[in-house]
Amino acid sequence: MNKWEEDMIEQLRKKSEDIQIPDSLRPDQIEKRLSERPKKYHWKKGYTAGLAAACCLLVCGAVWGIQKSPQRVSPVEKQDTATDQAESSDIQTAKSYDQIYEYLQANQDDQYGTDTGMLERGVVTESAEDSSSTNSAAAVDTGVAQNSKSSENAVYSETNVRQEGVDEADVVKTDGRYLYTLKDNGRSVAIVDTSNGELQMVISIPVEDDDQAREFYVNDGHLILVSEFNQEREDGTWTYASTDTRVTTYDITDPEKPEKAGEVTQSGSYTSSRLTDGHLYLFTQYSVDVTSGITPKDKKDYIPYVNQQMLEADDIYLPPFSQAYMYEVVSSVDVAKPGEIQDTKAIFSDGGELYVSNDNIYWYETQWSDKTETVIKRISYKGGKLKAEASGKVDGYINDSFSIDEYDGYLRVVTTDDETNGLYILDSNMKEVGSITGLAEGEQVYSARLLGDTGYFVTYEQTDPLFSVDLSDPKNPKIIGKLKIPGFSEYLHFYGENLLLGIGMDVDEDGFTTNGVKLSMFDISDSSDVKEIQKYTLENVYSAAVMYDYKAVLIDPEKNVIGFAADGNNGENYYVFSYNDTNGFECLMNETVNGNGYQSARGVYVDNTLYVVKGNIIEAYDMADYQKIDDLIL
Amino acid sequence: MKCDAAAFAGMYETIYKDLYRYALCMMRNPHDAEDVVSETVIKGYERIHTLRSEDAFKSWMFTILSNVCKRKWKAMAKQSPVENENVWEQLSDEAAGEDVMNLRLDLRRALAVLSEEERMIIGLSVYGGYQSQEISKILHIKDGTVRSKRSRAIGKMSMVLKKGGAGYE
Repeated sequence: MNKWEEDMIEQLRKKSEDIQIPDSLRPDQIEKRLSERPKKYHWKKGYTAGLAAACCLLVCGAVWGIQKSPQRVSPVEKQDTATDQAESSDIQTAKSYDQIYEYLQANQDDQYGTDTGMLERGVVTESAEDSSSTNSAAAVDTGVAQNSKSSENAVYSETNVRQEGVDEADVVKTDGRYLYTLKDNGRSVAIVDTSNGELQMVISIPVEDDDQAREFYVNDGHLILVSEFNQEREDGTWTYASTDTRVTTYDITDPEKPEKAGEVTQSGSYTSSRLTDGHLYLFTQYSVDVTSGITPKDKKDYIPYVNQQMLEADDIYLPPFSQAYMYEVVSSVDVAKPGEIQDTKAIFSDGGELYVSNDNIYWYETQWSDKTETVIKRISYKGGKLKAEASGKVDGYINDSFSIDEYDGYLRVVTTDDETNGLYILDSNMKEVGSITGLAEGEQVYSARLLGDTGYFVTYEQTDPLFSVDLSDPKNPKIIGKLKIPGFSEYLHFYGENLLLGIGMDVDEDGFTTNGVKLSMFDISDSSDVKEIQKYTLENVYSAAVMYDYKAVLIDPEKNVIGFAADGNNGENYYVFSYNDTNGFECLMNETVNGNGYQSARGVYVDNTLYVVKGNIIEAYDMADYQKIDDLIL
Repeated sequence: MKCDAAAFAGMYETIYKDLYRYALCMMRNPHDAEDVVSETVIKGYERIHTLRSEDAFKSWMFTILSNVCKRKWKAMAKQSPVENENVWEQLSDEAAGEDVMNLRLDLRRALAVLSEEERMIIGLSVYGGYQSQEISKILHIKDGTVRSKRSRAIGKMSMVLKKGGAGYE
């Protein structure tokens, strides 16, 4: 934490000191209530220790507590060191289900591990922001991001993705005529016709059963919808909700008569997905409830399923560390066969994140111990065939998927390690071939964009150094420029050939207060001498979703449009900017977003109409003057 | 020491004020905060046999409380999806009825601009005194994510606190 943040935390603490605690929560009241309560235990097959042993452990714990650290609790330390597995570049598969069980047991035996995180498995629903920043993926590989597409008679925008050529699901899509939007309650996708100059509701496709829809694709006459469903199981006073994921494909060749074409299901809650080369790649996270006392026999409680089929042991990749309790399950589905799983692998892990390049899935997980290290696995996915290729590791953790990027057979990774930052270049065997370490002492990476032979990344403490790095020789990456400006950029996007757009926060020179969301345009024509040539601060606007969810932004350099929703004094507004070198950023639109919902508003355009969509409200604006021309409440 | 109500209450005594403050910061009204802390106590007590060391009691209770809050939010969202977004309107209504069990108005305003996840991260930092790595373990999100979310949450809050009351009515 930097000084600014620490001071703020302290200030917040002081502001809450005078809060009175309700009498009912006083320790004596609690004791009274608890002692009147019949205590329930859950005796499980696996739990032989029981009450006496637990009490003993508590006592021992207390003694140890005094000897070790009387106040401070440090639940995150892991005694285990990476096993040999992490040293080798091969990815091991499990030999048997029993071997997997051993990892689970190791996790359960971890000094702290099991009791908490596991407790409420499946209850955590990812928020919109979550799903973006934890799963994000995609980097621009060709200079200018191509964010628009044309159909026979319309030019329209597409979801802003991490990797050009690899599509991502979202909550709003268009195909140049119809708008598709996930309704706020997550129960249906509405199809709206824009063709007659006015918005016209066509049909609403309801989700299966009690599913909650998360995201969808519109691809070649098909709507591919990802939803989650819960399987609740009562267990005494505890309800475990395990979440599974379903992908349902509808034929929407005739949008008025959508027809279900098939579905697949997979254990675990939805992490993310990708659509490329006619294949859908589905990622789900399946956590094993190690507290429920499973035994090696109960395979159904610790081995994931796809389409009601239990995974084979040799489709499960072992973790780099000696314990694990969750899987990232990856399946491929040929979009022409929407009822079949083509291939599945499960990465048995302790939790990680993913980046998908045009050829590979990179799964990376960080081990937090005395030394922060990130293990990266490369899994190739050509034509839907998933194959573990290699594993490697780098020091530090990866800020988000923009800090990991494949180019020309090499993987470039920007990391923050403790109080310093580094850049690593790995070959296809995940062996390090080049690096720069010890960058920006005391700061951390906020955003990055690596493009071909040049990369840019922002670290921040009180001012914002934008580093430029020459990546042309993978064995010898070089820092070639460093620009210091106040504030920081959280999101970087190439804007035309020689420009880099930064969206972040404007922070005062004192480093304590922010003035608002800030747009910066950097001239990168000379990457060794990058200049901030224009900037614009949205006063009293404290946050823009794009800073944590890149899908929330509409950026189209060709059309010269920068659109995003941001939150300020007056709630959520949608902003549209254009840019030119002389006049800088020009605010063309600043309108209240009227819909409600968890997801931030999305802006999409079809020809010269901008549609701002949030929850159940669609608002249409003429892009000639940004006057509202229509709206529709779904 | 025994695992009885008295022993539990003894451990609870060292953390209950911060638990309640954290709950209040999560739920934003004293009634719900009281409920979630009560529920946490009962869950914690019923499962105390799985706790391996008193050292971990505080983290453990904060984790249970975080999960109880998440579940409660989820239930609330099902009832009315709009509810959580309309905090600005609610705040001005609530302003009149400030009471001693509640957060100060400026703090409530500052919290109102945060997402649920950001609120948890801030709450665990402020009331749990946790570092990002510990928060990462409690909330099951990546440490890097905790750090960046905490940074931006603080940015948002600082702006609200700086502006004070004016313009926020």
